[in-house]
This record gives sequence, C-alpha cells and structure tokens, in this order.
Amino acid sequence: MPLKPNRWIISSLFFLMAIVWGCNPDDICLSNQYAVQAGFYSYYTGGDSIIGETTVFGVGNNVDSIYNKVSAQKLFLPLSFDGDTTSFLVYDRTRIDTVRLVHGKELIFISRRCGFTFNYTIDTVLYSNTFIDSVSVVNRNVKYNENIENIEIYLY
Amino acid sequence: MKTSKTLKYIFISFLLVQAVAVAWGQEKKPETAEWFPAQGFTLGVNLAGPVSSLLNSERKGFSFLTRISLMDKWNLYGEAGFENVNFDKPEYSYTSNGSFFKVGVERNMLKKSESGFIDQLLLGGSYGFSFQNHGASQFRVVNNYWNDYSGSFDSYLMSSHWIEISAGPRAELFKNFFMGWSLHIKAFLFRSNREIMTPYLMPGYGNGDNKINASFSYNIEYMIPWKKAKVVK
Repeated sequence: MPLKPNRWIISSLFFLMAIVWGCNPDDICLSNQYAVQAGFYSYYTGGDSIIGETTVFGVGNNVDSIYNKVSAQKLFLPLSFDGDTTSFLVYDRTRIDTVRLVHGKELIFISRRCGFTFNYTIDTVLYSNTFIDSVSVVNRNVKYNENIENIEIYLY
Repeated sequence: MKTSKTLKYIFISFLLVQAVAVAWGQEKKPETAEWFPAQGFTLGVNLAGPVSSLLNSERKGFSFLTRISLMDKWNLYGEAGFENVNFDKPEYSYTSNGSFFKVGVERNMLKKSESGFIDQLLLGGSYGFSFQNHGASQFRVVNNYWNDYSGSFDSYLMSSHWIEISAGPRAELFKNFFMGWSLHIKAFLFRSNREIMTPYLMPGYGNGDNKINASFSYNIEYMIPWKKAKVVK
C-alpha cells in the first residue's frame, strides 16, 4: 500500500528541516582584532586631518613597518601580547613622534572554531610633541569584533 | 567543504525517510475488532553517535535508550550515553570526555493503528544533563605583527543542563522490534564551572557555542512486554 499523502508531507518536512540545519554556516574568525584604532584630527579646527605620507613602526620591531609612506586619516596599531606597553614610531615624512600605549589585557575564548584572543583596556597614552599636539582616549576598550575608534591624535 | 557537509546531511536524511517509508508502507489487515497494543518497556540504541563518528573522526559517541509505556498514548523516555572529542588544530588542541542523561515524556500523535503493529508519531519533551572533563593541552593566539602567544588550559570537570523537544515517527517493523527517528530541538539552560573556555561539544547537547541546537536521533529498540497485545471483538 502506498504512503498516505499526509505521511509524505510529514516525511518531507523532516527531510527539509534536516537539510536546513545541515546548512548552518560556521562562524567567521576575524583577524587583527587586537589593534587600537587611532584617528588624526586637526588641533586648530578639531576636524579630520590627514597625514600625506606617514610611516609607522612598532618599537622593538623596527624591521617591518605597519604602514609605509601612505596617506592616512586612521591607523590600526596592533598591540603586543607581551607585557603591558606597546610603543610606536609615527613618521610625518621626516618628522618623528612616539606614541606609547599602556594597557591591560584579558584572555577570552571567541568560539569553538576561532579559539582564543585578547581583549585590551587602554590605561594611558604617552606621546612626544614633534607634530602631535595631544592624544585623547575616547574608548578604552579594544574588543574582538568591535569596530570603534579608541584614540584621537590631534596634529599641529 | 560546506557542500560536502550538506551532501552528508541529505544522504543521511534520505536514508531515514526511506526507512520510515518502508515502515509506513506495511499492509493493513481489514479488521473490525478493536486492537490494544502490547505494553512494556524497550531497550534500544541511538545510532546517531556512531554515524557522527563515521562522518567526523574527532567525535566518538554512543547511547542507550529506553521507552516505558505509561498509558495508551504516553511513554516515559530515558537515554544515557557518552560523547568524546579529541582534535589538534592550529588554534588549539582539545580533549573532552563526558557522559549524558536524558529523561522525559512522549505522546503518540497518531490514532491507534488497526494493523496489529504499532505506528507512532511521537512528540516529546525532556530534560538533559551532562558532565564532562575538558581542556586544551595547547592554544595559540596569532599576532600578525608582534610575537604570537601560546598557553594551555588544564582539564576540569563541568556539568551542563538543557531542555529539549523532539518529534518523529516510530514504527514496529517486526513483533516487538521498533525503528524510528526524531528531530530534537534543544535549549541550553546553564552550566557549572564557568571558566572562559566553552565546551566544543556538550555530550548529548551538541555545539557548546549555541544556546539552541538541533540534532537527529535514529533509534532501534526491542520491547519487553508486560502486557500482551489483545483484540476485543
């Protein structure tokens, strides 16, 4: 005896549900989530400012530059997993300033696919004053999967 | 990768549907007398664990189940088993060994069969509990500019709790021999020992990241009756 129509419907529903659940996408793992987002602003107007040719190095890693002679209004400055201070040399063509970030960090588990990373809290920012007037911390927390500017760098 | 995973689900689901179709396709005997099915308890196995192990070598699992006839349409349901996970990935190496228990009730949503065999569409609810020992022998956090960070998490014991609803057909293929499958929707309640690492897999529940999970079970059972089937004319 063939199956009754309502039983076919029930079978098909479960079959479809199985496929739908099988297609659930895995989560996507993000990279460079341990970077401080820094924006350049004009000391005079308070508006956005751009450095026409900036180069940035991490102090202690002078071999590789993070940025090399690029025009930028915003920088992503990767924080170190070692210690509680990360320093950067920021060039405006030939002029140099140092930005030192003092931070705490907390190990977190992202997901079973992505594993572990660190979230940071910025305590203090120390800086030199060649072309930087001041630095303001607007958001202390550097968190995984959060896209927010952390510090504002005001330029002469 | 995603396509092959989908194909696996389609393949399994197709097999399950065919099995149920065979069970439902049994000839019915025209009878006017009222038939009362046998009552008793079943002992069975859930084949979902071994099938998962075949498809995913990181996982090993197996479980036993029982159904106890309460009334004409109601069963008491119980399941106990284990699920272990072991893998080495660049992000972390992980080991988890654990067991789980489920207890609940089910109701048959179909009218009583007149065929002399028990055909059911079971809708149920149950409570699940698991405990597991899990840890990461190594993990690595990659930094694309500075040094990477490496560490480990010693294994620790934790327990988890959830509730679930289930629905699916079950049929008596031969006398006292049942086969059936069901879809389970599970809602996480809470777990003890909330350290930062969430379990990769909670035994009996599934993906430890999810608050809601779905899974299939595919059961084979044998019933030991305490009350024989009878026909009243």
